[in-house]
Amino acid sequence: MENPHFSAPQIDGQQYRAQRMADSMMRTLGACEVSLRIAEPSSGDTNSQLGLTTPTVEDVPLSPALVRVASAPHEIKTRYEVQLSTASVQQAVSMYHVDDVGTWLLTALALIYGDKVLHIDSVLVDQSAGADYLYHILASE
Amino acid sequence: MQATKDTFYTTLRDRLVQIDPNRTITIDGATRPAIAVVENEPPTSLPRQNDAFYLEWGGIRPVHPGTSTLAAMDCAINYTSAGQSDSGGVGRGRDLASLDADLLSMCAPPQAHKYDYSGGTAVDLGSYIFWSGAEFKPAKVDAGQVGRQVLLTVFFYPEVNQQ
Repeated sequence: MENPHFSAPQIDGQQYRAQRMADSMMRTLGACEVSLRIAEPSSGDTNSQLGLTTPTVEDVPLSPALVRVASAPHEIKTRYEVQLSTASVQQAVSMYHVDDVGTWLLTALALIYGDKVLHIDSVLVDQSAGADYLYHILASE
Repeated sequence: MQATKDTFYTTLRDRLVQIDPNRTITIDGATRPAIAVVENEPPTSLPRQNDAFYLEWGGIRPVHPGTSTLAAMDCAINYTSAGQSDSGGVGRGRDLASLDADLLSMCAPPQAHKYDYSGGTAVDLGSYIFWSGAEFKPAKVDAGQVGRQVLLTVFFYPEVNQQ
């Protein structure tokens, strides 16, 4: 049972403010599309347990996205930060019945940006009033 | 030696199903016995789960160089438990003991018929693999979890024309 003395004060609909702010920022600044390369669910049979079966993959388009280069000047490999709002992932999340978007992004096989196949290094999730509103994917070539 | 790795894994997995059929995990959407070979899983798999056995293969060496082809391969089996969340995790030690008991049972008898799985179906190679007694390392407590590593050595004769 929720303890009223220790629960954070919540205003109904407060979480949507941050989501709307992030969505409008994406629409204003993010003119590009990225794709998330995900593996189809494993069959779980012996061949897949022994690493004999190559998982089939699918590229899921996500837009609008904001992409910026995040490499330090001396770094050899190029790092990218890709920002996505809840609107960017909404269609895919409902299609694939995703409960935890951060984990779903982090466990994807790769991120496709143009002709680049990027490795996903980490995912940060910004929350407001208990709801996600912005996803930062840190990826590298 | 791939046949040895595959045979050892499938033997332990099938014995786990017999010993404790309710000990399962879900990886990539598939529910399966709670044992996995780390090198066979996709690199993007979720972090390791509690109450599951994770096999990692180590070094390989000849047992009697020059006189026999018998080879030995090290294997480490890691597992952790966090207890039940509704009891504040106080049962994690008991859960670890349950995992210990399951593993002891899975390792006996310490031998198995060797099969080649590379063709998609199990082909009997007409020989055996066998392994040493399990060496249970001290339990380690970390971030509310208690875990253990078990070491053992698997012995095998490399097959001609086998990987």
